[in-house]
Amino acid sequence: MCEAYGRTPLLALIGVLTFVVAISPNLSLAADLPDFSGAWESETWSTVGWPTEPPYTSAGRLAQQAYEADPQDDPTQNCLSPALVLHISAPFPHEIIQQEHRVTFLYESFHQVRRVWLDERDHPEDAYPTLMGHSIGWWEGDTLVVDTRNVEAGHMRPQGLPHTEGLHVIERYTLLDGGERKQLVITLDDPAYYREPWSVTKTYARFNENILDYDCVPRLHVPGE
Amino acid sequence: MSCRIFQVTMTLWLGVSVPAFAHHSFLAHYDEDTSTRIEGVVTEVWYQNPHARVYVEVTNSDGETEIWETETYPRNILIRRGWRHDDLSVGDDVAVTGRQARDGGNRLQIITIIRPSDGWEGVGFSVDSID
Repeated sequence: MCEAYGRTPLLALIGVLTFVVAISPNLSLAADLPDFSGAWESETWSTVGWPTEPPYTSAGRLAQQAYEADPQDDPTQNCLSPALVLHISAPFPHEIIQQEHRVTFLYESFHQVRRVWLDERDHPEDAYPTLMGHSIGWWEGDTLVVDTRNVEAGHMRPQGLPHTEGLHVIERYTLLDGGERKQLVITLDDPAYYREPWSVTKTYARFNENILDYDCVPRLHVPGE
Repeated sequence: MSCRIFQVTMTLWLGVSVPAFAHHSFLAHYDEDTSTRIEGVVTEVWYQNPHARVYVEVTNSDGETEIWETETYPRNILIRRGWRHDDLSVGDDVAVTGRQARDGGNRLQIITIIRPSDGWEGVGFSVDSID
């Protein structure tokens, strides 16, 4: 009995070391890869760069007009999370946790989490659409490329820019100014609503404040009640 | 009477072209070509996402009191721009200018919000904002 207790610290140490060794490939980064880890904020207001007249198909224009006709269509006003692109375009910071096999985006907007798999997997063939879709990524030199499909139909801006479940999103992230800033070129391809792919370029700066909670109260209030 | 305030409303037809697309989260609800000013007493403060709101009791030109809903940025943006959660309280006298609701209701998108007693200024939208 006493002997067993005496071995406990040694066994615990072995266990901890085994765990650390097991997960260390996922926590370490290759030394030559750009490091996007940390918090970021957009350098421009959220409307900047988004087109007012994208190359709509007739179906896309009809979807935009339907959205404009009903201002209550914006799900964010009822505290319902929008789909992926509106989180990217929203005026809120995000944080990145970068691992060798995965990059995780933590958006302040609606507390959304997004996992980008860098382990050479493909998009699942039988996936159903979700708000954040399915993202895989890879490195092209110093650029992190993120490829996303299976995003629920939604809108890319509060002003509209509707998309279908066929949306294909390509994001290209590159560090600038020694890593103090980064650039995103996001390309949106949704043949059902847009005649051709179109792109938006955003720049971000390192963000030294806290990522905040996104408590949300639906707009269902009647004054005095 | 808790509300000794008068209301002044003016509409400015700015004579500028409407943006190529006039539908926005805010501009779907508020008319960017108007500027309305109210003065009154704060009855409720909703310091929240997705948009913060301040309710103001106003006495209109007929001597009747009415509640106005005034709306500004999300709470998280107010925090970062210096409007603290306890800066404004129920009972404070405020003056608000903003864009009026397109449906004619007593609602404003805040351009400026001021508490004259101490000069405190909240955070509203810039006049040329298209949000």
